[in-house]
Amino acid sequence: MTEGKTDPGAATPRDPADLLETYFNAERRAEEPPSAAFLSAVLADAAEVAAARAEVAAPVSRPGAGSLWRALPALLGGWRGGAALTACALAGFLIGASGYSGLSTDLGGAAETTASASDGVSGFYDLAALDQ
Amino acid sequence: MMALDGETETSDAALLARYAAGEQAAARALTFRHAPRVLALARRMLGDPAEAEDVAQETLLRMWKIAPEWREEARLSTWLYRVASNLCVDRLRRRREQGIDGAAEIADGAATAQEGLEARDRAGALRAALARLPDRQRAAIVLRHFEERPNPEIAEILGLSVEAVESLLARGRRALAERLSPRRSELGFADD
Repeated sequence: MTEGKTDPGAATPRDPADLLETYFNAERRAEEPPSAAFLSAVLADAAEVAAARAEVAAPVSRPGAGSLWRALPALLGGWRGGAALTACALAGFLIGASGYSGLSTDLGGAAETTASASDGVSGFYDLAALDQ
Repeated sequence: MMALDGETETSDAALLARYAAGEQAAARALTFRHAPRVLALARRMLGDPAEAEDVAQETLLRMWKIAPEWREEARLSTWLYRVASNLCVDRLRRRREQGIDGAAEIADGAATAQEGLEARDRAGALRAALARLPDRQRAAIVLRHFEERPNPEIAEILGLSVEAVESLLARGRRALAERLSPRRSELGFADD
């Protein structure tokens, strides 16, 4: 075995395994290194993949201007939550604008008025009752 | 080749992480470290240098793509050998389907053997004999005798048991010896 490894040209191996090892050695010696063109192509692939990855990663880190408006309904609890919030804001504005003097001094009275209103669903928003 | 990369102490996983972070020097180190072995495997499996370069390039391209997800505990060389050997087996299968006899295209050195006792002729004869082995036997022989991988790693690369690899190696060596023995004198070995 070792005879074949050291000098395949001079050895005359008798064992088939030794003969085979001689051939393996000859083939190992014949191995050629990769060409410069091949290595350049591999490195070009590496640069291309890295550039593509950087390009994909870039937009993710910078959200677009419209995304806040798109996210707003969800932040407010959907369209139902948004509608309720808008109605409350409108009611508050109108109450303030109507100049109802008793509201600030007699909240209990206002609550009673609301409770006795005929329209149970929109009693709180019944501005006509508040005006009486 | 190893010395050229300047990163002999750095692990493959660390280099892959650096490459994934955008460092091209890490790609260079990985290329110098692994491309020669991947290419040598493909050359011996396929026998065609141009096709072998295609396979090696494709294998390394897959490495670049997988770099950000690479797990520290995995062994890169095993993964590369597995990808490359699978690509080679696919190509060999396609050749057979298309009726292309790759083994016939490989120069076996017979024409030049009479000129002298050159190792090149023996290498050529071995390549021709290798090309006539079944794909799995050829892969096992190349990984064991040229890439010097241990049998358990070959089993992992080929997706087989260690016993199956031992069997492949035994049959492959026997087939090679049978094909090469009759040509001993032709290839420069003295007759008994």
